[in-house]
Amino acid sequence: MDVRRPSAHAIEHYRSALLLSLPALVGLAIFWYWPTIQAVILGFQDYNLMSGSQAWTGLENYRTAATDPLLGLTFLNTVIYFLMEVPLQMALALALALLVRRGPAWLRTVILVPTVTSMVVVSVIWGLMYHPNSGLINSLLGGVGVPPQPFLTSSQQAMPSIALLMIWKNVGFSMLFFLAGLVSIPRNYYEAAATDGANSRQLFRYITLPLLRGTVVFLLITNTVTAFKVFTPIFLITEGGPINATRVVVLYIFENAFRFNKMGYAAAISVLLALFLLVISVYSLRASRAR
Amino acid sequence: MINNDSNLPTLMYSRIVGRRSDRLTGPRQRSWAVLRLPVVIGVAFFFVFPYLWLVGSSFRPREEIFRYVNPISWRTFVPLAPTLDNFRHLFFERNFGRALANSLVIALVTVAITLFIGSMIAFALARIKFPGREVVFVLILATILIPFETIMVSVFLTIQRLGLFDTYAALFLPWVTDAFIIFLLRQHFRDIPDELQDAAIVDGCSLFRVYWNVMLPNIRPALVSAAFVKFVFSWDAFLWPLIVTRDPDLTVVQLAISRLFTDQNVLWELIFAGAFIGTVPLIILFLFLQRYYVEGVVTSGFN
Repeated sequence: MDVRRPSAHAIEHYRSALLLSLPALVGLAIFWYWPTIQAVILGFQDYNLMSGSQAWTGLENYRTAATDPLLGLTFLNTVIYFLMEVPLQMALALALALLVRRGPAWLRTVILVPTVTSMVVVSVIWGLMYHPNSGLINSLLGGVGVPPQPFLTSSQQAMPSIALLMIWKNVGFSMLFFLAGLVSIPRNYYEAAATDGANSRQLFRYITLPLLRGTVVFLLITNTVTAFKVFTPIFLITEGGPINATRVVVLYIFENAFRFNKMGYAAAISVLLALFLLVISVYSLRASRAR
Repeated sequence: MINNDSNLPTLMYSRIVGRRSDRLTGPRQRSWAVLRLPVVIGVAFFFVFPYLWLVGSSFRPREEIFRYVNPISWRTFVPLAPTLDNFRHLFFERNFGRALANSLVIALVTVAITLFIGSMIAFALARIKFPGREVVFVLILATILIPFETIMVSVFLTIQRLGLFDTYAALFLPWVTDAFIIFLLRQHFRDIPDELQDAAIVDGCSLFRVYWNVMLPNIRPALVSAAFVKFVFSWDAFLWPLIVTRDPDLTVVQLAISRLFTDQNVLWELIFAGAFIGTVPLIILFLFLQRYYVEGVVTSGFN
């Protein structure tokens, strides 16, 4: 049994814990909690960075948001991007995980290299690869007889092109989590099912997939959040064009805050985006637990 | 975040990498055996060809840059008259050395501070029982739910009010408290057997001594994982430096590369060379530290 006297010992522990936690907590307070509160406050204000003028405007920013057709379009574009990127990326990641598990070890290394390549470099290089006349992709397509495509210069092809480069960059992350999920499935499940006469398709359908559910939910949430944060490739390559076809939410926040000097409106959009992502995350978690 | 199995982090790598296939037999498997090599090669090519083009083109002279792209052949990827002119131009005319040095210093400082204050609080959360511990942990994890992009406007205003706009401090201070890193290190501290801590305390060690002399050396692999993941993150920073710096002397490497691309007069060979400088050192580092990277990513859920 514990014979320590609680008082002196516990107090010393408490003080040590406090001192050890303090630097991190101060950092979080200044750079996460306070900005979060401030973003909410700012959403109710008209804030001009140049003049420093700051005035309460109540729900004005949110009223503007409700009737801003461009904002609606940016949300729609972001959802379209999400639908192009996330399902395909996750399906590909699972396929690659299954392949890598049975394939050579260097293949996994190759698939992971884009995840340690910076977003700027990936954007810039793919931006050049997509070039209609001098780009590598059209010459690859030409090699198999496909006529040259406009890619980023076409409002139909711009968003799928961005989604493809993001899949290329991010699929390694998702693959790693699928690999981790796959190795945590006990091997005797497969052996038992195989002795009962299950074929490999049944093994996948009735053992692998159900046991990867936790991984799928986790990846769905993180990939969704990542998708709704997309900024760099679009900022660098298409700048939202052609004709707003790739204007996404974070780009619109950036432009409002740092180009149009509408800090309050930018904050209001940020709050809407944060709430939207929060609702999606909580809902996915709930839905996955309910079943 | 994703796994409560406390042994998982340390075992993860060997389990992901290890174990060759338990090969089943049957008609599907036999047809797969035939298909496998082409599929593996196809997948590898999909992930590698942009790098082949990037590396080859960065050593190409200006007048050769577009010549062999179409039709595609081995010449598309191999420079026929390799030159270092592009790199020379970047370092002597575009001050790339400065950008590289800035990014390197910022990344090292970020990593050092992140690991120091992150490991302290992770140790407290994992090894000290104190009232409110769960609350603190939830508060830290809550920051994961708020993407930086949704608070960048107010973080920017905070930096400005602190008088840190356009300073080195602005480039790393917001990033040194990292919930993913804290979570990762906490998981590893929890795996250390209690006897180690108890013995040290019986010997008269203070909790700080236990943290510094006993616990930190025991989670060295996790520290390497955290350091590398954070280094990559810091090296990649683009949106934040774009917002918070104006001074050309504070340009970080990603900004420098992006400016080659958004310049009025786009010079492809310089973009390739800039991308090469910004990428290849990190890839080489990754090849050496791959196991730590995999562990760090999978354990923390860093994305």
